[in-house]
Amino acid sequence: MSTRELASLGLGLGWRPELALMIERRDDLGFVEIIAEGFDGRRALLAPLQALRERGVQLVPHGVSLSLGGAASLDTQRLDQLARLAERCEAPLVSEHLCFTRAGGMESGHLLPLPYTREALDIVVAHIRQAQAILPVPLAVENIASLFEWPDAEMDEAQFITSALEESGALLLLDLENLYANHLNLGTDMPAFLAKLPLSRVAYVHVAGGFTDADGLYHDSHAHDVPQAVFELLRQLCERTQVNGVMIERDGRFPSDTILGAELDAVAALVKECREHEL
Amino acid sequence: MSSEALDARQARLLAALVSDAAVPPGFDAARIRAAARGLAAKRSRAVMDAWPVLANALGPRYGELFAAYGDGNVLPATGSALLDGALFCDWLIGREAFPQEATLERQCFKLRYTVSHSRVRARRGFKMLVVRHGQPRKWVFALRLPLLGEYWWQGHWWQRPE
Repeated sequence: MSTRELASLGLGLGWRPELALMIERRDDLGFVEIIAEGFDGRRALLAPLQALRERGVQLVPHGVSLSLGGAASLDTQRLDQLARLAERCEAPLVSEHLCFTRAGGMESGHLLPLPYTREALDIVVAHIRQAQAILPVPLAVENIASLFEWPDAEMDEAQFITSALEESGALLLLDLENLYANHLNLGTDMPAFLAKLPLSRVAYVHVAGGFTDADGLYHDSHAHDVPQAVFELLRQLCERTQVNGVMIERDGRFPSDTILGAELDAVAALVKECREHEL
Repeated sequence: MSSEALDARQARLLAALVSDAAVPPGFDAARIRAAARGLAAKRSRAVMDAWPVLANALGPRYGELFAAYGDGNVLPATGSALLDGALFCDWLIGREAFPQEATLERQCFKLRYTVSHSRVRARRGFKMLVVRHGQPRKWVFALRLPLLGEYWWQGHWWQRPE
């Protein structure tokens, strides 16, 4: 499917209990993303989420543990849970990651990169299709950040993502901070990456901030302000295509409502500016 | 669809990231070690968030003790920080390092959840707990009843807020 079939999401923020009040007070949010593993679709929505839903703010479940790129078979219980939650939220779509999170009975608790090979591509495409068959709404998959790469790649990350999207029909959740992190840590060429991706498939966009450690490695902590370089990437993206939705992910070291609010304002202004420029 | 060869390679990589297993050939060992430190820090933070009273009671010793626990115990198969923290409590008790201040937090976990095959689920049935807590130590009774919720007794009845 293309994003033209998807209603516009607009401006968004990752819903976290610490941000619930700020989110409730903000009247220009079109959507919030909720971490799917934290909610049970068999139960009623939390009151603040129900209130957002009634106000017309769309809820997008965001999975972090489906392990779509894991070579072992997909955990159907987790998949069913995601499907139930999508229904409970009346979600326009759900999202997950192009990664693996577990193998050999071990759990990483995080998103790990896939080898950019035909073998891994076949697995992730088969798992996306399996998920699409169960999910009641479209699935968008996200590019991840990593500190390392697998050896013996047969293609680059952008080619891998593009093939996965084209072969599965999935949408893309484009995380610009992950792209920036991979640029800093792995040398990813950012303009070339954006040029290669099928931007018509971008369902929505993540922006966030991280920090650089003592060894010079950048970590996508989601606990720091969005860097100017990520805003610049968003500008470049908006100049190339009309983005359907943009959201900030903030998971820790929560700033005051004023600071986070100013960040949201800056995102909204940038998207608006690009749109007006187009007209 | 599954591929045994890739599954084995992913498992070897993951073992290097979450245990002291060797870094598989071809990977940048320094980067794998950096990523492993990142995973351990994320795991430690997640347990700290899920078990705030425990983390607060251990104070500056938390990081060191959790790292020692994490060295010998990988993240539970479902990735649950709640369960990881419960197992950390058991580990601390085994070393006589469990802080008494976190007793009720541990009892809350036992009262509210059941664990089966590393999956943590909200308890549906009846559960009663009796524990000595506080300074001076007093008896505390906790009761969880289907549909009616939770009741605690600590000298007088009171219902604990959810």
